[in-house]
Amino acid sequence: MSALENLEKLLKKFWRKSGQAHVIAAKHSEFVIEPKVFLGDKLNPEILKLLTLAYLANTSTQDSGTGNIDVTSEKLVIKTPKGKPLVIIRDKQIIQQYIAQRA
Amino acid sequence: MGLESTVTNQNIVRPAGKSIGSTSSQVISASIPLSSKDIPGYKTRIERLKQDTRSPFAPATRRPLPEQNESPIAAAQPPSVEVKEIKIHPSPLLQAEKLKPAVEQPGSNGAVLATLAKGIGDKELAIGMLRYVREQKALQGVGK
Repeated sequence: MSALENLEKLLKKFWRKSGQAHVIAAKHSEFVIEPKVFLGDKLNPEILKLLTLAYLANTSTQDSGTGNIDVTSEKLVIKTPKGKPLVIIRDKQIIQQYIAQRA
Repeated sequence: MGLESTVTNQNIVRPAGKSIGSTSSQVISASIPLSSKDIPGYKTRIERLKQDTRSPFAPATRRPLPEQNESPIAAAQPPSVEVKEIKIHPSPLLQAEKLKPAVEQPGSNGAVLATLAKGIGDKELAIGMLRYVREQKALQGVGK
């Protein structure tokens, strides 16, 4: 199994564990809706959102991420150590949750 | 008002007070003057109809009907302000929200995954992410 296949498998597992998965129940079978991990050359926004939420939840307890996050009331930017923006979040709920967690 | 008519004795319309005379079977030609005076109660009835506003004999006191191409609303309420052009713009806030997604990824997959792996809180997933990043870097190195 390649690293890409392994990562896709792990991300789908992470997706199911987070409670995002939807199940369609038929008479004798059920279908679990799984997201596509990559859309073109980018991550699926829903997967990225999930990873970012997990990252932000852990960032207060570890040092690596703290300096890489710029937050305003409008947006939250996760940057590389060199200051290049990697992920921009405009979801108000996530921003407010992060600000409340820091306070 | 007068009425020229050819009548027979079998079907004579005879106004009150006028005598045509009796004939047996011959056809007669007679001029029968008809006026409002000749019909009993005619004048009073017309006067009554004229007073009734719903009657077609009533004087034109109602608003004239709108012209064929004119809307009844426009005819009833002439506009005090002339509207030249109507433009509907969506709210700027709504437009901004539509244009910008809730989560945006300006960075590459490798850089994003490498950064997020450090604080993901799931060791197995973090290792998987870092392996993927390493593999991608190796592939890029081969490509160059």
